[in-house]
Amino acid sequence: MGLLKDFLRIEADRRGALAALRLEAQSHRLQIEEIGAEAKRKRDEVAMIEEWLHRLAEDVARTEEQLLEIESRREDHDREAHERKIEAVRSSLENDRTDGHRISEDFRRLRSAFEIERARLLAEADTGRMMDNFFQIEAFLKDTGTPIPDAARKALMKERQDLMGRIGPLVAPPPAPEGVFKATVVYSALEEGEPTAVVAVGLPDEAEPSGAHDLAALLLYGSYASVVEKIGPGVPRPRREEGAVIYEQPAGSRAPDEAALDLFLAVKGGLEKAAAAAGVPCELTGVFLEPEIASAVFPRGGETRRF
Amino acid sequence: MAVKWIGDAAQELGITPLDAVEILASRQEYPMNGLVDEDRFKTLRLMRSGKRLEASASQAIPVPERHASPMTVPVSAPAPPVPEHPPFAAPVFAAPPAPVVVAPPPPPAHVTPAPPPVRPPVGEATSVTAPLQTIPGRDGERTVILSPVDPKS
Repeated sequence: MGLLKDFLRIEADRRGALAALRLEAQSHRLQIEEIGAEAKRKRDEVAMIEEWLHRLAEDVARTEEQLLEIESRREDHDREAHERKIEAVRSSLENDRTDGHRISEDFRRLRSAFEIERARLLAEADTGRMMDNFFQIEAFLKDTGTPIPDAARKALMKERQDLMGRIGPLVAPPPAPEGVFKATVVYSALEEGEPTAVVAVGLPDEAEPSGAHDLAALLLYGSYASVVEKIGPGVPRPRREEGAVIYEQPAGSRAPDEAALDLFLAVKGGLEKAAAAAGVPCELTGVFLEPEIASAVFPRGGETRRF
Repeated sequence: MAVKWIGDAAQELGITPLDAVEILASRQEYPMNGLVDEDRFKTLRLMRSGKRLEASASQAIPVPERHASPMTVPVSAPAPPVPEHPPFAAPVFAAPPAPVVVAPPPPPAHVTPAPPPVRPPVGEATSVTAPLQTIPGRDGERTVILSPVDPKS
């Protein structure tokens, strides 16, 4: 009886343990299924992310191609802008030279005719008497201390007008062309090699030999004189290249920009003074050039003509 | 007063117009109308030689010829004594060296001393302001410009 009871108890324990193991196994199977589902979901996400990454890589490649294309276009634009600036500088200098040549020709024609007329008048016998009368009338009319009757003043002014018509070139200022001498004075600081200040202006060619009626020579000599006065003797002579007169001055110990500005002001001041002395209205514009533009327009050691 | 175009003036002086411009501008005398008067032309004529030397860079400057006789003469080595009457006719093995002919030194220039300055008598007015006082000195009379300082005062 005892043995059967023990067997029954043992069998009941085995069945209880077996049921517990079944439950535990079932729980693990459920856990495995959950993990499998999670893994499948993650694999789907990874696949989706990989697809996104692939698309992103394609986008990156396409964007890089676009960047390369943009870079290439930018270089083309820069090159084109560089060439256009060079061409604009050359064109401006050439236009200034052409306009200056026209005004210079007008100046030469007016002054030559004026001098011929003066010489003709001075060769006449009664010119001296007429000039004497003219200046006496001028002094008399300007003398505010002496009252002049209206009739006498009128007669004197008429006589003055008549004399002016006959000996006008001898008492009037020399004529000047109606046009305005306009020019663009460009300047820059070249920093390749020895730092150098450079200034250029489009001036017409001076006559050979030059004369007092040569506006181009007046402007050239005036600008050079101003450079010598402000910078000192021994400055390099200007050179002519493609119609432009070019001044170059080593910067020395100074900053190239500062030297360029000083040289520009000297040239500009000289041109203005020379034009004023010739009685020609003058409008000058100063433009600073980027060094690479200036280096391309005014290469050192090119085909130049030194004065 | 004659006035010339600076290009013509430069050509007349044998320099370039820009040389002339530089000369005048360095003296602040460049006329902006390019017409050179006589004074400026004289300046150009005086300065052109210096301008040429500057333009020639580092070249040797020739020594100008001396037209005046120098006050010192170079002393050459004395010639070997040559016997006037050889005692006998000795055979000649080699040609004797030619005697160095030394030109006689030029006579020194006759320097006429400057005449002594003519001094007015003492007390005579020599200027329009006041007569100058003179005092006797070691070398003669001396003009008193500033009165000597009295050490007692």
